[in-house]
Amino acid sequence: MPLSPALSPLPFLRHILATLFLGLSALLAALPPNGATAQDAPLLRLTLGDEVITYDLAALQDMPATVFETTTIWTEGVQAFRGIRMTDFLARHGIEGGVVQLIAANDYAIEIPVDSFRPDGAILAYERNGRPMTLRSKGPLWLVYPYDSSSDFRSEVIYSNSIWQLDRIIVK
Amino acid sequence: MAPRGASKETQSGTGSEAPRASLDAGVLRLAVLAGITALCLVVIVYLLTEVRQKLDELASSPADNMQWSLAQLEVEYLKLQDATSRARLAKLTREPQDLTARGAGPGGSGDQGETQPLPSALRELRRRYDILYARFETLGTASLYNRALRHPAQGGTFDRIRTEVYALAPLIDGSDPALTEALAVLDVRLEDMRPDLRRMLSMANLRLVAQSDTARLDVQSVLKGLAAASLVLLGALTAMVVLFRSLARVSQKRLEQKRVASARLETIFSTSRDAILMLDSRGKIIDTNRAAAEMFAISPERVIGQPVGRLLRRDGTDGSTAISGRALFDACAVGPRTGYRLIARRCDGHRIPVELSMDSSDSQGAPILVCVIRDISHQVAADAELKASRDKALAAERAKARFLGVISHEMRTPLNGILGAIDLMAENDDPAEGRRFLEVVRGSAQTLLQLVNDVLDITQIEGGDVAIRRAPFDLDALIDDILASEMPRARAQDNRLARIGAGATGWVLGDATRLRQVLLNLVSNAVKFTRFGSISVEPRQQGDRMEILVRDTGIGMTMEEAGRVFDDFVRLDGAIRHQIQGTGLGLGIARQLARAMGGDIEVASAPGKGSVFTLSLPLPAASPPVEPPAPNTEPGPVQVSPQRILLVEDNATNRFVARRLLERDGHRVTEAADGREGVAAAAETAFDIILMDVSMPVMDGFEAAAAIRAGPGPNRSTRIVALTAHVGEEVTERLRAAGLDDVVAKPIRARVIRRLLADPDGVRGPSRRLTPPQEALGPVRRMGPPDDSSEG
Repeated sequence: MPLSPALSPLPFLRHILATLFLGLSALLAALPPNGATAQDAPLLRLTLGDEVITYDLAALQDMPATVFETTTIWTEGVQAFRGIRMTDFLARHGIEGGVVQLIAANDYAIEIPVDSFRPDGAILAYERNGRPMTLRSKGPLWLVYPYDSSSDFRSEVIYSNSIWQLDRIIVK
Repeated sequence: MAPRGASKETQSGTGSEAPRASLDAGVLRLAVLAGITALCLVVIVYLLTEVRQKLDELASSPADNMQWSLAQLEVEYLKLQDATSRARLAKLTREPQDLTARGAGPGGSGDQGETQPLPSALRELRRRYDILYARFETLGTASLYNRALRHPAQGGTFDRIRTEVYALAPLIDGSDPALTEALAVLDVRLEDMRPDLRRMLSMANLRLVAQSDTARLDVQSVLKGLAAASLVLLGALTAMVVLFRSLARVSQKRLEQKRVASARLETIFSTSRDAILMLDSRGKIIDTNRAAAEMFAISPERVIGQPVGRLLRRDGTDGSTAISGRALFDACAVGPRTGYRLIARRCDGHRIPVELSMDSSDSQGAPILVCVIRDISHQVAADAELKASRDKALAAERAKARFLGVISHEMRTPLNGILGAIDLMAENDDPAEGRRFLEVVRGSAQTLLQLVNDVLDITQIEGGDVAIRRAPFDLDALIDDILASEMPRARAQDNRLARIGAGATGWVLGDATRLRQVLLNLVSNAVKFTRFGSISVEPRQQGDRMEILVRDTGIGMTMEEAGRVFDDFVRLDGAIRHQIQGTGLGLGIARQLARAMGGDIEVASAPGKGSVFTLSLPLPAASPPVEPPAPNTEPGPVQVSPQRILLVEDNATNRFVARRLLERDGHRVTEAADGREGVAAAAETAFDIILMDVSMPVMDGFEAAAAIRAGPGPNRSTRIVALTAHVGEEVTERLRAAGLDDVVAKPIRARVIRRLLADPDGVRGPSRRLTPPQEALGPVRRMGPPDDSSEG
């Protein structure tokens, strides 16, 4: 790894500080206008035609979870992901065809045909290495594939589909 | 054909030299090409692996869209700047409180941000920071980007900027007022870092482009190498195909040459008249041709694998020995051999002489022997015939010499008696003594005549000129007749002569004349060689065969002599020692005659004890003729009336003797000195009988007789009797054909002439059978009382 040891502790430290700040701000700051806490804040907004469904972390955690470990080209070392199987998620909402558009916090948007999802494929991860993901650590949601399980998941298309900082899904 | 392989190679050597050389060169070239091909294959396999690897790399890209990700960093950086600027704007609008807020609201020039309230702007600022933070985190963590971002040429710009951005975190995460206060500072710091970031990203981008360029060039060079190797391989394979084709053509040509040569040799092999055997190193036959099968009378299948000794043998002093294959190979060690004379033993047991020529050769590494065998039985037979005829000629020469020796001796002896007695008579006047001398002369002359007759007999017999005439005759009478005729001589030698044995034999069928001649010879021989002894004749009937044994107690002979006694002109020591006269022809003639009659004569003898001659003949019993001509057989004194006789004879002495002989009996004789005179005389005067010599000058007896018979003269049907020294059946027949009625052999005897004249119609009478030998024998034996008395 070309990452120099002198630099490596820095992001970790910063991470902890950031978490502390978040916690502090949550505790100290006056209630936001919509009155939502960090826990309660909606992570995902699903637009299903005219209907808009929002999910907070708890709602996602209530759903059956899938866990796998894999390396990614964007991270270092094996990562443990926990999330909802994409096929399950789509089936739950009766989405059987068409295209879903996934949009990230930075407005990065991709469109994926519904029938290209496989039961052994992508999950909507909300936990990485046992911890919820923040915006700084590619949260709140990350569409990850089990890259190590098959070379099918190591193509450029799949990499492009692996959208992080996901917060909106629009079913078309 | 393998055995001629060596010589064939040399024959076709000039023709196949060039193809052979090109074949070798071709094989060498082929080997080189094969090496090149193998090398090319290795290279191609290697390059293919390389290509496959590159393709794999391209197929499963480990890389994200890197340029996009890098560009995103700048976008998000700019967005953070933008958010900062907006937040500063919102702060400014909040500071003039309501004015700005109000004025800005409706008078907003379209941009949302400008109407944004401060808390919302700050939230946006924080969100943008978090997004940028995550981007830095990603780029810093993923090794993918390290080569581009942390390249030494970057001088650590990425990490420096990242650290600075991270260092903003406490400020961002701080309280809103603090953040609001620091907005200006934040803006400045972000602005300060922006050129560095821009430069760093441009360089990273260049780095990435260079990387992908390198990868592409790599693939390109591998593909180029692959193409080059494939081209070389293609070239090598093409060359190999061409070379293979030319090699195949050369091989085909050589094959054809060999096939033609082989067919030619095969034809020679199969059509040869000489037998050809091929032997392996153990001397076993491995191939033959048709001629061999015929010569040895054995099928080619059966002869294969047999040792050569079964067929070829050598005749040596110690018998015939089989030829061994080893001996043949040894003989051929220094080169081809010809002209061995051997014996071929055929399958059916025949042995034929052959001549063997052979040579050894090499067939597939093993020595073989090619044997050419010629049947020389014709040559050998011709040689033998030549040798036999030479031997025969030599034997004839010796026989002639022996004949002359014996004849000369045997003629001188009686001539001595005759001439001596005549000398004595000429000087002696005593009539009594003269008579004794006459006896001596007559005896000696008879001996001479006997000699002449014997010689004539043997000539006839050996010429195959013996006619056997079978007729019934009384064997008892014949034996009695012979005993009677020999009795005087037996008495003179003080011998007893008798017939013994049981009963009469009666009439049998056979040639009485020849049997008489044979038996008389045996008996007179027995009498001649015996003194003070006894001679017996014993006929034994055995079915259709008759054995007649003639025993004597004479001097006998050894076994060796007994073996030679039947040869011509053989006179045994005993005969010479005892001064017994003879020609040495008698027994030879007797045996020849016996054999001509279908019988034989054998002898058993012991010196000093005597001999037994056994004559065995086929003499089947026969019934006697109804009217036996008994009276005719009785010879007696004949009274003949005087007759007119024409005597045609060229020899003056013979004429004189004959004339005196005839005139003494009261006949009138007219003489003629040759045939023409005789014909002339016959034309003038009629005669009762004409006596005609045969061999005469001017005109011979044949012509003269024919002329008299054909002429108009008075003697056309007169009886003409030939007087001739030529004897034999053939002469007799010719004379008869010439018109002569009778034939009388010389010398002319008074008794014979008298009987002839007394029997004028005796054409069918005994005179008819006056064939010389037998009739001549008769008088010799009958020197006894009846004739002599009448002679006197």
